[in-house]
Amino acid sequence: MVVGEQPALAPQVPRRGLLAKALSFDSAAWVALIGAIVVTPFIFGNVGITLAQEILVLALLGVAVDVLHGYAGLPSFGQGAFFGASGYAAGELIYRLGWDNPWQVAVAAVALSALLAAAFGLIALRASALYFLLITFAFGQLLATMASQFQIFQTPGVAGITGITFTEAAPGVEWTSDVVYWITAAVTVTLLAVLTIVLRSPFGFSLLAIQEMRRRMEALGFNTWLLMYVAFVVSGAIAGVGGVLHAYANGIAVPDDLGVVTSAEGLLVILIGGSRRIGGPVLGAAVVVLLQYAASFVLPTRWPLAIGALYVVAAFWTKHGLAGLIVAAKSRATSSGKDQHALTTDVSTLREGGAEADVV
Amino acid sequence: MMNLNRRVLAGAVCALLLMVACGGGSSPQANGGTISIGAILPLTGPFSFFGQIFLKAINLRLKEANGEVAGKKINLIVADDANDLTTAQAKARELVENDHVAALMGPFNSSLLTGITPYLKAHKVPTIAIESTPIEATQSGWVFCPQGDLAQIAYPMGLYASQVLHLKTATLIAPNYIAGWRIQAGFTQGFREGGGHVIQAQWTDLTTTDFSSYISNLKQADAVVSWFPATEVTFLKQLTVVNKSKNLLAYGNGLSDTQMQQLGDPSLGIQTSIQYVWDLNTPEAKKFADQYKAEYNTLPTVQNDEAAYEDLSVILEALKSTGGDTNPAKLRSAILNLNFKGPAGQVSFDKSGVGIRDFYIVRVDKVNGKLTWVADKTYVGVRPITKPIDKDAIVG
Amino acid sequence: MQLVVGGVLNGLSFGFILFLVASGLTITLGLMRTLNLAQGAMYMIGGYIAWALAAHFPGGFWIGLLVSGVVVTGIGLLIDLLIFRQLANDLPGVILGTFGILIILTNVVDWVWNSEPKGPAVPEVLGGSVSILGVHYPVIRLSALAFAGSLALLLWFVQERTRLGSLVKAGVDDSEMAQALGINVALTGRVVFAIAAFVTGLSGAFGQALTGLTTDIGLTTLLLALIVTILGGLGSLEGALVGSIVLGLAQAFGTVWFPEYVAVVPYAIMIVVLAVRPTGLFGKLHTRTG
Repeated sequence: MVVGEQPALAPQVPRRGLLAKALSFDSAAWVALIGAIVVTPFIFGNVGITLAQEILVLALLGVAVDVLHGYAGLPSFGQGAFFGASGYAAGELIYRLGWDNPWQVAVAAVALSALLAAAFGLIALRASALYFLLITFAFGQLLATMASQFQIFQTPGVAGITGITFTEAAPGVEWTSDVVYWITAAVTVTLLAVLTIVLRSPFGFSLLAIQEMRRRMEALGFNTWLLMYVAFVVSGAIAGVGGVLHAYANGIAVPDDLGVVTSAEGLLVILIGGSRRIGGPVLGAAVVVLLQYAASFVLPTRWPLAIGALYVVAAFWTKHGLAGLIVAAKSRATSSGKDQHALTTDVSTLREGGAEADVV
Repeated sequence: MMNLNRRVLAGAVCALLLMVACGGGSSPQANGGTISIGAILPLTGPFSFFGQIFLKAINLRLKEANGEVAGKKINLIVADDANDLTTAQAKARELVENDHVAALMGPFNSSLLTGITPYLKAHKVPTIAIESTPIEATQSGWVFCPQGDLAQIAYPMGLYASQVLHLKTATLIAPNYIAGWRIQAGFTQGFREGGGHVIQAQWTDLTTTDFSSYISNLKQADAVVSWFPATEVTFLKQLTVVNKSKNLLAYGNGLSDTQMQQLGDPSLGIQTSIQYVWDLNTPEAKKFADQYKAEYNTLPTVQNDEAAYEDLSVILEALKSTGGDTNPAKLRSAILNLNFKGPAGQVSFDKSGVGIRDFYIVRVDKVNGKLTWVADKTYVGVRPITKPIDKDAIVG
Repeated sequence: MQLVVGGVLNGLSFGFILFLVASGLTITLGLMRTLNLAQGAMYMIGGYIAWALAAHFPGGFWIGLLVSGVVVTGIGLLIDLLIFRQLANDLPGVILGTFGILIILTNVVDWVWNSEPKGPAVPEVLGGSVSILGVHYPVIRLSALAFAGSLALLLWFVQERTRLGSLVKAGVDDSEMAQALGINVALTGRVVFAIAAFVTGLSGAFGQALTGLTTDIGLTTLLLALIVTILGGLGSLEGALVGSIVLGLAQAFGTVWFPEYVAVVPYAIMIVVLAVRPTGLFGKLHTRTG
């Protein structure tokens, strides 16, 4: 983001309908995703459900981070704050106010995360990427510290809130871990679909353009601050959805949900799985969750080392992410001249964050 | 185009299969000649050194039992809670629903145990706490605490301080969470019974190791009574440089032998209350010490070395008395009816499952040039404290 | 009176040690526009190495200071080589990479020394106490104050009175202009980072004599240093110093006045400062770039 640099010109893209654009390559990815979700409980049983649940929730966190990082160009190191806040909100509503309707609780909890983002966004958005990173980091840790220090955020004797469970998901449907899984799956897939469309719309492209051509955008009359602010609030809300589902799955909200480890995981997911790519967050989340699971068998007392190594590897592997690799391989397979050109441009401008056509 | 994606999908499925095959849920049937017992230990994270100690003790007990009880093979499954509540809950769920464990040990961190207790109660899993817990954890009916509740374990020190040492005033310090509150509450109760009273109670930040401000703030009293789960050495080191008052530990698991050597001579004379001393003059204690030494080439000098051994003993003794029947209700009542003599002395349970047992007042002394705990007095049959003094009522 | 004297001394000794760590962080941020999340882990390594030497060999403390400094500088150079240089403008990459190193270093420490907290290893000559205004105060804390204070003075001297210092200031103030004038900002950054690593190692070595060691100080030290950096202003040594002292004093008196909330106090101070001066007390970075 150095002043005066000329952005790469985007190649000409044939205009297509929003829906078609959104779903073209990605139809295969959608099938894969939905297939995996449906098939997992039957092939892998309880363990599979637990892991798949974690993957979906982490993918949502990743998406939230990506909206800010991949689209608005703001790397946040504090989305855990919004992820955890909704979990805590859910916990408090149940524990202190006795709410027993999972849908009401979820909506209220997500609304709180969005509100929190709305408030904090006013402070965080003053700044450059570096400052933004620090501020979001500090915010997440502040909430984590408060949660672990203040008894108002704790069930007695526990460093967190327990009992995040309900009697029924809907009239006649008991609240079981299977039910939570299906709810998580449905919500995640829907949210991903909606976001795909939204981010491929003029809104999404404006965000991308702000990354590189902020002054031009402003000269053109765009309210860049407002666009980024909206992205920030949306990101907070998405993280909130992930957080509430996470709390529902575990029945627990803990201070670590709010802090740097969670926030770092969100960033990790995107960098491994691919930024601005459909399926990126899901793939990234799958790698993180499954690797952690496998590592705990291979290295029962030293598995955190494997996680540390994963972070270092991911740091270098930030060019395209897994999803980007798939796209590249696919484009090579189809070997259309226009695609190649777009891809080359795409790759070379990915790091500088050029206004990307996302042609596939 | 479709080829590639199918390949990706296939690859992902294979990877997933591999992962699960490597690890996932075996389901041994409890009545097919094998009994599964679970242990949730802190194998990683800040308490990992405790986790290793507990693992050693459990393995020793298992070996002593030749891996079987009541004619059935024991399948011990150890899980790591990483000192995280979410992980502990997940591991508990796996152990109960996938591995069908007959009984559980741990988690060690009482905050985690309290957090998963509702689950344990709902699924009727007899669980033996490792080391002391808040009294509430045991009221669920399914969590048993042979080492005693948090207030009970410090009560003897309070009694001794006032009745034997004739101390009149004390200033207390402990971390600001339930274990700290309850342990000091127990000390206070004993102290008051002997005519003493607490003039100050400081509650420290949970993670700090800079105690300088608390030390500067200490009021003048006959004794400084502290408890920290593992950082006693740091507190005492900072304290003894500037403060020469009598030092008592409300409860003694926070200062290991290794740490005693680090502290050096300032540790001489420190007294505390503890459930186990390795050189008790009983056949059980001697046998345990010899076995431990033979297996691990070191003496079991700290409380923690024995605690998990005792916990597994409780489960195994109960299973022996039910004849290998793992029915939860039967197991539960078998545990409540236990009355046995272990390396730490006599252990039995009150009706809610908290241990009634002996406590030893120990003192740091040099034995063969090495600093270690030496037993001074025994309090026999100390009972659980069902209504510990509230944190805010400790001073006065 | 006793409380005030004790509190001030406690706050200052803690604050100066913290400053040594924060100084590295803030200059790296201001000059290289990049963040080393492993800075706290470097402090931790410095502490463990010095402790290992001090606790097991007579005279080990002094050797430990030097060895820690050297080893941590080595780690710093590795981070520079592997992460900073390879991922030059990739902030998220640097974040994840250094975070991964923090995790790895923490677990290495656990592996080598286990996670049992270690008591402070104080050299005998600094082991006693002195009477200050009627208060018994540990010599080791006074020594830490003197040691860290002198280092702070040295750093300030380097910044204000040497060529390196002016290069640094130029780079922090306006990186492009400095480069246009022919200053090799990148190389300056590297040199400064190495110096910061050495200083961090030293502060860890001395710090362990005050607070002992646990395996989570890698993260907790980082958090404090980060708060200091934010509230002092990125790239400002003065800011880091003022911030560290303020935090140290707040911590020292906070434990007496509002003990239940003392953990949140650093954040509260940071928020208050930011509300008044968004770029931190002495912050020079422009609020928006590009």
